[in-house]
Amino acid sequence: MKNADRISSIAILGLCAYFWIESRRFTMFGLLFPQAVVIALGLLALALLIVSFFRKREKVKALEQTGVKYLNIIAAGLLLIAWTFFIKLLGFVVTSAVFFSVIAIMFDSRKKTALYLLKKIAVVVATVGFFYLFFSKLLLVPFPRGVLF
Amino acid sequence: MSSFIAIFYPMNLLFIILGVGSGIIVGALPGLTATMAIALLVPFTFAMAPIHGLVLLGAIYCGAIYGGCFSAILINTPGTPSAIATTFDGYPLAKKGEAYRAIVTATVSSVVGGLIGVLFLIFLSPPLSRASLKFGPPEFFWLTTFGLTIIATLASKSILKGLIGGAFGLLISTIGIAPIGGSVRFTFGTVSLQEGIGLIPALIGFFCIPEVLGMIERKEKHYHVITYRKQKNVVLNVLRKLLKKPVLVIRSAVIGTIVGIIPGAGGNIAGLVSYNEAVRASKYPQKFGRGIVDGVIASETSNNAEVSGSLIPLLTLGIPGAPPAAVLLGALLLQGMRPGADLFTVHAGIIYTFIFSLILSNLLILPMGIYSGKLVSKLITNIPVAFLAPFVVFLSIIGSYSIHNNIFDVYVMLFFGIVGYVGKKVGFGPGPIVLGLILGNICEQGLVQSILMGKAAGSIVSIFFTRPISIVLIFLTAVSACWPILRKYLAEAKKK
Repeated sequence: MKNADRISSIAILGLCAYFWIESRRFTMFGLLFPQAVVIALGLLALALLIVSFFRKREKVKALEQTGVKYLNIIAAGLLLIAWTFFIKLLGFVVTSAVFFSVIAIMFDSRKKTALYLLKKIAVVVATVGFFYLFFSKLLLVPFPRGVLF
Repeated sequence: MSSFIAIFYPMNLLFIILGVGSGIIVGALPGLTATMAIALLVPFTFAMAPIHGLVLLGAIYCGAIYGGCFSAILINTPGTPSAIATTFDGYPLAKKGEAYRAIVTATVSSVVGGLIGVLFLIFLSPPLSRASLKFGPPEFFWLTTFGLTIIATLASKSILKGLIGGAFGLLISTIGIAPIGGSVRFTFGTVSLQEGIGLIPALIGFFCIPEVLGMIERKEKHYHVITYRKQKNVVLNVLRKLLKKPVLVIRSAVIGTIVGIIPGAGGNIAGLVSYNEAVRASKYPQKFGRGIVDGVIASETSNNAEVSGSLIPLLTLGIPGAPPAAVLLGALLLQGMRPGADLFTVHAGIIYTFIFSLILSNLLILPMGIYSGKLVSKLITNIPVAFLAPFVVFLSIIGSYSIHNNIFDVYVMLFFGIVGYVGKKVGFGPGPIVLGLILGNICEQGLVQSILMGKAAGSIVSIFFTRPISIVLIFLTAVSACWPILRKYLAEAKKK
């Protein structure tokens, strides 16, 4: 956690520097609050950085010992980003059916037979289809559109 | 009176039943929280009549906080953070073959706690909202400062990180056109950011995406659900037991309400404090943790009382008492209703119907909770996390898009979701950040207007530091900021 604290406090200080420079071109009343917040945030980040040097060394578990599979999280994060970016291209329903299926299959620990895959895709398509009809036709909630739908 | 009758209108009744039912399911499923459920549904209430939307969200809030007890009792995993203390005695009771008794006790206690909480809400809110009329810009500035310091102290393990989270929330609230002065700030050349960061997409991002990634982290977890059979006369026996323990019930409900009123302290803190007090006051403290109904009563009475408690500062001052209440604030603002005295005068019909609907929501927990137990325990085992996670993402995208029909809001949601997840991993909880984002605008207006008032009056210092309400708020801010040090000092003094 010590390293995480150092990295996050340095990142926050960087953010503060950027916001401070940007804020200098605002009107007097427009810059008052952001600059006050930047000063407060900067001082707090600096305090966190200083504290991280004086804190006793903690026993940090190796990543594999925590049981968290970080590759899975990175893969999931990338899939979420791809999901949102493909919406404009393919349309929300098609993109959702594809990425919903990929995530539901990828992160299920059960054995993946052909029948399992078919069942899973059918359930996902039915779910997406049901909610699409329910929201767009019944509740008149707008959906993002793309080349397809 | 007309507000009370309005809760029995067919549409309101339908939304209350739907809300309590879906809330119980969401609360029972580990990984899904009350905050997440409300955040996901807020955008869909935009198209509804304000009262329907509020009644639905209030019912979900009550149902979800109660629903957490099922997984706490049957699989030793709290369905919502509010049910943490319920696992201490609920699960041991279930292991002893008394799962049904534990569930009925949790149900009846939740109903009683919820009703007591609503009574506090009914009687405390109108005078407090009238008091808010005495608040000017300096008082609002200090009130928001107090809200941020207290959430930083209570919602985070480290006060420093809590304060950083709150300040970060304030900073992102400054994105967009300045409320005074009109500068276009920190938009990075993006036109969509001129309106500022959308509150609902940010709330969905902070509260839903980290949970989704958390589910993927824990994907290997398989739950063993304790099965149970219904027994006769358990409900009556539990009711008798509760009547014999009025002090335990009332104390837990009062603790829940007070903790709810304190900004940032959610149902988990209410449950734990109440459980701790129940142990301290008990004649047989050694039995706690081994399966005793008193533990379940304390936790469940308290966490459901906390629901209404968290709405008191929200409706009267615009300061949410707990994360789900923060999302409800988003729903109120979306419907064009600003918390404060106006809410109890201009929108009195809607707000009182909403408050009275909480009575019915709590009462409905009794039959719905007891009869849906079997179905809920089946859902806990049969819905795979690998399905639940993308389903939440699917709803998050629809929810964040539907407010402005703008794909940019989806990107905002995802961005803050990833920021929220990374932040959580390094110790920055989403609570302070979201509160900072919500309170930023009020805080800025308070600060700038106070300075203008001070300049006109000839002394900025006297405007900030000499008004009576401000002095009280400054004192409370100082106490809450120093609370970790004070607590340590008091604990050491007690040991000596």
